[in-house]
Amino acid sequence: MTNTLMQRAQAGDAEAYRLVLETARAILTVYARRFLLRMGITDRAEAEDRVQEILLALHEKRHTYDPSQPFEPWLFTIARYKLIDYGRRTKRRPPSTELDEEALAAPVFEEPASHSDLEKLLADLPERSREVLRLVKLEGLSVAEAAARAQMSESALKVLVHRTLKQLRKKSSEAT
Amino acid sequence: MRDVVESLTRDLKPVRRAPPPWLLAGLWALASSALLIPFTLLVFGARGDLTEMTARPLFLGALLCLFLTFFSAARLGLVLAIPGRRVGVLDRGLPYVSLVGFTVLLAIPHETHAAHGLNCTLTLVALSVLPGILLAWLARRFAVIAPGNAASAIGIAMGAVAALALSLHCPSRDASHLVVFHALPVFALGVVVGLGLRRWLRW
Repeated sequence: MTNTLMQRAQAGDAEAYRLVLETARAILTVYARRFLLRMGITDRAEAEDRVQEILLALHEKRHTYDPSQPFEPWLFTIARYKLIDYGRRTKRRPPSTELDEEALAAPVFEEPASHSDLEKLLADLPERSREVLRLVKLEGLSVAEAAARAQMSESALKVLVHRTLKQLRKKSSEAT
Repeated sequence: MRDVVESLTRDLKPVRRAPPPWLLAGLWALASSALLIPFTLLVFGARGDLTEMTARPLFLGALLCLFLTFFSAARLGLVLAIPGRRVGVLDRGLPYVSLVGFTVLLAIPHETHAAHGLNCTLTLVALSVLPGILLAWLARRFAVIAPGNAASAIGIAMGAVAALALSLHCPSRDASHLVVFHALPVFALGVVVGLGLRRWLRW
C-alpha cells in the first residue's frame, strides 16, 4: 500500500505524499526514540528533531525510492543513516544491532486502521500481549526496558511481540 | 511536526525516479569508454602491435576483466547510493575478483619489452579523472548510504576504465611493468579515492 502511495507521491500527488509522511512519522517516532535511547539520549524533543531531519532527508531523496521494492527497508536505511550521522556529529556511539528494532518498529497495519477498529482489535488481545505491545509500540521502550517492566526475559518479549503483531495483522486483514 | 509534513506536501513537484543502477552504470561505462578510448588513441597513439594483440586470448581476457571491473564497480558504487537496496556478495566481490583476474593475466610472462614506467601510471591517473568525476557526481545525486565503500568502488571503476584505454596505447608486454604500473594503480585509486571522497559523498 505504501509503495503505491509513494509512487503517487513521486508523480506529484500531495495527498498521497501526506499519507506517506504521516505513516513514516509515526513509525520513525518510535524508531528514533528507541535508537537514541540506546545511544544514551532520553530527551523526547531530541527524538522529534531527528524525526524531522529524517523526514526532510526522505523528501530530498524521494526520487531514489523504487516502487517495485518494499517501502520500509528504504525508509529505515535513510533513518539509520541520519541517526548514525547524528551520533557521529555528537560523538556518541550508535547501537550496533538494528534488526530486532526494525522488526519491532515496523507498522502494525499496511493501511492505517480507524481508531475504533484499532481499539476493538487490541481489546480482543490477551492482557499480557496488549501490555507488551503498549510498552514497545506506543511508549517506545527498548526491548530490555520493556522486558524489565513486563518482568519477562528479552527473548520471551520479542517472541510475544512478534506473535501479537502477526495475530493483529491477521485480524486486521480479516476485518478489511 | 505537523508543520514539517505541511511544508513538505505544499507545492509538491513530481520527481524523476532514479534509473536502476545497472542501467546507469552501463551508460557511464559506455560514455567513459567512448570518451577515453578515442582520446587516448588520438593523443597518445595506438600501440604498434594492437592488431596482433587483439588476436591474443590473454590480452582479450585482460580487457574483458577490465570491462567487468569498471562496469561492476560503477554498479556497486551506484547500488550503495540507493537506500534499502540489498547488496549481495556477488555485487561486492565482482569488481575486486575481476581486477585480481586482470592482474593475474598481466602477471603471466609475455616477452620483455621497453617499459614506460611511471609515465603509464601518471597517464592512467590523468585519464581516470573525468570518468571519476562523472561517476561521483551521479552517486551524489542519489543517497549514498556507505560513503567509504561507494567511494572505493568509484576509485576502482575510474581506474579500470583508464587502464583499459591505456592498454591500447602502452606497447609493454613486460609482466612486472604491467602489474606495477597498470594494475596496482587501479587498486591504489580504490584506496585513495575511498579515503578522500567519502566525506564529499555524505549528505
